[in-house]
Amino acid sequence: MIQLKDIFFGTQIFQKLKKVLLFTILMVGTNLIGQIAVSGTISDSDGPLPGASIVVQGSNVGVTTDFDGNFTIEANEGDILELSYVGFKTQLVKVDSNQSNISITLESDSQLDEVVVTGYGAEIRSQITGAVASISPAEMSKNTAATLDNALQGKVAGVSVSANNSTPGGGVSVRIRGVGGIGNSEPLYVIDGMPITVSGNENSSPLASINPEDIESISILKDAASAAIYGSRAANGVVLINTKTGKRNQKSEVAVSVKYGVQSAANSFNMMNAQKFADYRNLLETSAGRPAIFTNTASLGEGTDWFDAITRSAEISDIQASFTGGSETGSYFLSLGHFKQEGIVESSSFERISLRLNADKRISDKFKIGSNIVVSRTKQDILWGNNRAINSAIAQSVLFYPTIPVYDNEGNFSPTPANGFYKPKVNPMFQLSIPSFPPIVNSFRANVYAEYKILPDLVFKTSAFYTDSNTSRKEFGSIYNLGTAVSTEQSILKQQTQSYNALIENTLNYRLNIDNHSLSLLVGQSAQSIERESLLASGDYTEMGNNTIDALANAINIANVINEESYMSFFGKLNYVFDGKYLMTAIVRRDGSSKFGSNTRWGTFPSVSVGWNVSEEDFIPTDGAMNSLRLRAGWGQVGNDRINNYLSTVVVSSGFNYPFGNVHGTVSPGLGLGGIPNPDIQWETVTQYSVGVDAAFFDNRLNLTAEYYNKTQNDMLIPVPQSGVTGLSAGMNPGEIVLNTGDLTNSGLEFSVNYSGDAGKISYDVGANLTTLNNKVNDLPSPINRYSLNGDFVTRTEEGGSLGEFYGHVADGLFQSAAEVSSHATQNARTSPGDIRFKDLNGDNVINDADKTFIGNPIPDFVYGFNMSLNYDNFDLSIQGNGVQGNEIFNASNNRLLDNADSLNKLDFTPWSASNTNTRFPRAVSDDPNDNLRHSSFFVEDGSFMRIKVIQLGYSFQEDLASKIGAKRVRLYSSIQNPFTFTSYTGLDPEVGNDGGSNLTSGIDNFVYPVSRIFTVGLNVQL
Amino acid sequence: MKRLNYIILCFTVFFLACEQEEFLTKTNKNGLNSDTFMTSEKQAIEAVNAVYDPLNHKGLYRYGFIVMGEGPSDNIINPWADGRTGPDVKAIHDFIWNDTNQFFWLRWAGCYKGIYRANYVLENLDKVNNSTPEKVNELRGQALFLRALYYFNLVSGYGDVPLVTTILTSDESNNISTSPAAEVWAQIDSDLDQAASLLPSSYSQGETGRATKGAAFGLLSRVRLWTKDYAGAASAAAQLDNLGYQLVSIDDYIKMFDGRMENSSESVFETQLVYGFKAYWHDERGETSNLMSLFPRISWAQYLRPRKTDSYDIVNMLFENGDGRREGSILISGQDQIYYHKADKVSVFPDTSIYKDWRLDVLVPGAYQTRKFLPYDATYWTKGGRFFDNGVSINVPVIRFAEVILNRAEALAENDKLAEAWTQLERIRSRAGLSMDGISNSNKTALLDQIKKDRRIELIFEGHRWGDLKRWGELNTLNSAGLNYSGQVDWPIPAQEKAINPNL
Repeated sequence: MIQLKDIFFGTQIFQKLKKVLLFTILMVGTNLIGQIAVSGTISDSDGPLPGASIVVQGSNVGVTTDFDGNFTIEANEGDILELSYVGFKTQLVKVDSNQSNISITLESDSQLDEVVVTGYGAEIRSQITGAVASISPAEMSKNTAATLDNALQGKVAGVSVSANNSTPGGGVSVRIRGVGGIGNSEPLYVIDGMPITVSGNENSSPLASINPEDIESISILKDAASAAIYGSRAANGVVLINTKTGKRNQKSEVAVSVKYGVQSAANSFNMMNAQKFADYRNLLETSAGRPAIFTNTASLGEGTDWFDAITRSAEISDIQASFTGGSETGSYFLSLGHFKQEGIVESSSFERISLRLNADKRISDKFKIGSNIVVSRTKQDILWGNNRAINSAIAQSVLFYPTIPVYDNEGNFSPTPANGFYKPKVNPMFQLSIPSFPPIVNSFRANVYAEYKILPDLVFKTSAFYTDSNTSRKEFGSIYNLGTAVSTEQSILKQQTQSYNALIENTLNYRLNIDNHSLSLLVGQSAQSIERESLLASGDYTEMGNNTIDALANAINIANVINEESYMSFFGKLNYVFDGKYLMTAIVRRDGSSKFGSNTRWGTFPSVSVGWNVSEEDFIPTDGAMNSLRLRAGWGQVGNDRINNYLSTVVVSSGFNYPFGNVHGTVSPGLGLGGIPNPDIQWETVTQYSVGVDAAFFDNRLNLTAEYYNKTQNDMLIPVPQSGVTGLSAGMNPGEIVLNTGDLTNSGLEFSVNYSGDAGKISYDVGANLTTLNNKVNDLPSPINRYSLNGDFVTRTEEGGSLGEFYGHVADGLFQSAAEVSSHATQNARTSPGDIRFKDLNGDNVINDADKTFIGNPIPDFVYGFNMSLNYDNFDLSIQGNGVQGNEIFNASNNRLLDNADSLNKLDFTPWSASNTNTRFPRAVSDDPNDNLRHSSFFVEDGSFMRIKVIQLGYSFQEDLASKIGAKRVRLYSSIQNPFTFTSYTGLDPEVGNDGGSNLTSGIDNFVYPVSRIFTVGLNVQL
Repeated sequence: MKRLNYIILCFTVFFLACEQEEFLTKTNKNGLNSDTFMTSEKQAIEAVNAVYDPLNHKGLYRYGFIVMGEGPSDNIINPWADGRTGPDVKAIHDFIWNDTNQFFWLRWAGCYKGIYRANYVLENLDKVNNSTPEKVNELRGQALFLRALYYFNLVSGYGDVPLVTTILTSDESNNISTSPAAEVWAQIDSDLDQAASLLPSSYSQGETGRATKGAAFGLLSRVRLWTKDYAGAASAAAQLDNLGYQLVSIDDYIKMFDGRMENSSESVFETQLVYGFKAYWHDERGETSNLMSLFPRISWAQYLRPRKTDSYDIVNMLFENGDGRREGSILISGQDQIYYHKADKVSVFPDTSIYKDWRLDVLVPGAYQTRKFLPYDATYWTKGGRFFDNGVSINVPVIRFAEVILNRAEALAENDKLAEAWTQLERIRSRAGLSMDGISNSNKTALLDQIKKDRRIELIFEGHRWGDLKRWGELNTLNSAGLNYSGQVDWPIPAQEKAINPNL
């Protein structure tokens, strides 16, 4: 009898878990026949084959060969090893204790099979019944991206990825099977076994601390049937990421790669120049009966192009070094990476330093321990102001007055003239030049695990994970006097956020092969505890030069927030294969979450899936064009608890203050309940079924997969707007409480196709994938409005529609004559020719809110990706691209760029006038009586695009040449990222993502960070 | 496999149910919860403080009072609008009353926030366990007064509104129907009546700004003019004569509105505003008003100016010669002098040698600006903040003694007590430096007209005009002043509220 808690619960960190986990294993009768470590090399006729699969037949134990074709696998005497590689015949080798080292040369044209990492194990492709996709890290690394989520774009059917903010290290939305739901729709990431829940984010990718170069494999559990093993947190699919390890008996190897690139804005705004701006402004003023502002406008000339002023040619560099090796009893992988990207807009950047050590050690034949340890530091400088809003740095710069130069005659930043016309806005370049102290995230992530082979077919594994991260944020304002723009105080803000995440997990794996029956069983249990605490202090000083905040500061604000959550889970998985033809997987997971009240805390999430390897049947000829055919079907339920903590209760909010006594700087605190508790809050359930077919043709050169999925969320955890009568509103926003209500369905088809071929000395590989997206809100208690612009909401989500559709009036061209105005429904008493005509949808002869309707949908009909790689001699060329089709964008930037009431700069356009009637742009009138700026289809555009994302050309030096510098392999490459985008969208770039990562505010372009074009050269050396 | 034969395995995990639940129970440590809040006197005071907070929200006395109370009236011209707020300010003036106008929402939401917090206090005061009955009564009186004030700010504008006097569930709030305005008025009357009996007549200096007995009677006198309970209005107003209120001298009239005489002897209830908390443009935060939008120095702020058109000149039409309130209310370019703190001198407005960045139309001689809420100490204009976008920290009068006297005069006149009414009016006019010559104390219509005219002048730009016209049934007269009045009496219930609640 072993008390595991004594071994693993000793450290202080797990004291809390220890209370709960009393863990006992009873073991009666053991079989002491040990396993054999079989190692060897797999090659083809040309040499070693990296990436070949070795799987113990009938099990989910498998490995892949390293760069030199080496592998090591543990198996029992008499087990059959399946050795396979794409495009080669699978060979079977029987394990013999007398021969622990085998060298096999695979023959081409063999059976297709690969090992795929699935939840808590690995399975071979031909035995997977769920929808699991895998991505080769080699394909990903062709993309120069700070974070791995960005690099997933276009790679896999059923996975749609869009950047929310193109700033270095910026947020990315990853959606698996559909667009997701109303709440957080990001997948669960499981990195070396540690589940990481991320939130939708616009500014910063939550995966920024992970070095993409450390990744060995990525698998995506797309359907509930496969993801149910992660139960409560798998509602949006699961991305499994395993990092690199050393191989047993691998010679020590050093790999160095260096990448350097230069970025520039792929597109720019076409604004009025100074002269045109001044003329336009004068026209507005004089036609309103006010005096002209500018005299001698011709002398103003071009003036300042502020977009040009704030953007720059920016550098990007990535330096990686890794050390890998292994002995008979252990292996290691050590890597060091430094990634640095300057943003193409001044004062934005991202930097990451990461160190990783993955190591394992076999203590005995039965006992193995290992650990993964990462230390990283990231620093991201983002632009000031809110994203996608009029007060963003980009909007405030682009719209800034072209009549003001960047620098004055003395070389100082130009002040904003105080002549009553200019708004007191500060020179954007000055604003961007204020030194910034980007938040620094230091994170430490580690896990240790121990594996004990109770029986050759029965393995117990216990793992402990610990993450500790600290975010340090500082902001310093400054005192300045730039004409009408004045600041008289230095503001200082400091924030520290500390978070701990501890997880303990125990699994037991059993497998059994009898005759044609092959069975494997996994049972496990886990407990996780997360704590976060942040402390923010801010204050103002009337003099510069302060580095710290003390009690002398004005307007001192202190905020201290604690968040705690915990999870407890039990899970099991059964795989059964009969005769290699009939496959079945069943999963059940039971989860408890601290986010729910005591009566609704636990949820059970089952799934079952079946597969049929049709081509294994005797009645299917295998000598024809078709090599394999498999049918799959699955059903499962997973849960969602992605809500804030503590929603079942409510606490008092502070800040409802009032300055009794009327003393400046003094206020009496006011407190009140900040919401309505919902003690019944419980799991949201996602039920998904899917069917799929996999087929291979023409000697496995052509591979096809097609799948259908249907995913319904019930009892959705959604914020439901509350009547103002509740007293919970904040400004223009109604109060909201999170309720379990409504349901919505995502469904669609996924196709992927891949063809490998060769012609003479050229070998090539082309692939494409496509996913259709259907989203329907089946039931919603009341419409949800989001994204306030000019006091009205741009999107509206309501029953019967889809998520976040644009809502407003239907624009119907411009009025060309007074007769047209008078014959049309009344818009405004002063509506005139040159104003936008809106459709009178209800026919009441008045244009008002009743004439609003849905005017666009940000959800594409389908998204797709494609890639091509080509090898010729020592050259390799690859092209990757992706696109979306059938979506609309609400061009809110245009709304602002046309706003005549605002004195800021405008889009370079010529307004309608009696002499310029053939235009879509309305007349120039300063107070816009017709409200041309109202939300209407005038601002809705087709957002479809196709982008060539990467073109990369590489050259690998001949081995003899490489060896002259002592290297095994040297590859030099050059690439260009975002070289071409094909779209009819008139804004800066059609990939606008989701505001704040939310599906309810998707497809709104409001001065998003410009997309950059990147030229890169790189060198990989392996020693 | 054959080895299965001798495998006997048992894998057991023991979890004590209570430990699981303990592990999964996380209590919110970020504040008191509904069980623990308001158990001490300190917390009860903090809960009452929170009821005052919405007074300074944008829909109320931060900005809404003037936009909604003066905007749709003949005191104002609103030629220009921009930004997030301007178009809605102008739409209210132009009588383009869409239910999506932010002010209709902000007033609604702000009042119900105050009402919710007041109801919470009233329902939970008996939980307070370390206080005195006197203190609890005082807190109850404040909550009742404020609830009444918020309901006044609703019912006088929207007419029928939901009447909530208890804490409702989310479902109840989202499905509530309106109550007839008469029921709401009755609730206000009874709340104020009770508040007047519970509240003290004054507070220590550090507590200035809390509701007093005088505030309750003062508001009651206004409310009873709306409900045409003229005897009640007159008697409520008369109570203030015994509470120590004094009209300030005419020389000090402007000081009540430019920061020099906050909480004066004439002040019955005013919102307390201070700088030092930023968030100037926020709808709810900070402790200043948005009245910088009236300033003639901010280039984009050209809302709500004293009405002057070719056919309607408010100065000529309204003010008698010698009326000291004219200079205290309206600033005439090229004619009136103001004190320039920056140069420490008094000079004719606008003095471009001190500030050159006046709006172009301000420079036109004879242009009108609002003088009320223009800070005397012009350092407020540039104090704090990153931009020149600072809030105004001048208290906003909610009830002035002058209004209560006018309420009394009007109530008495309506009740045919013309001589008494005449005497009350005299108090107002003599303070303004005007005689009562030619004002009849026997012609009810003429006297009422004079009371109304003096009321308009006395309270100009303080947010009373539209409500008074509505109360008198005189909104139609706006057309003759050149406004685009098109028959609206009540504000529309906000669209986003109707979208949530099908019963509205």
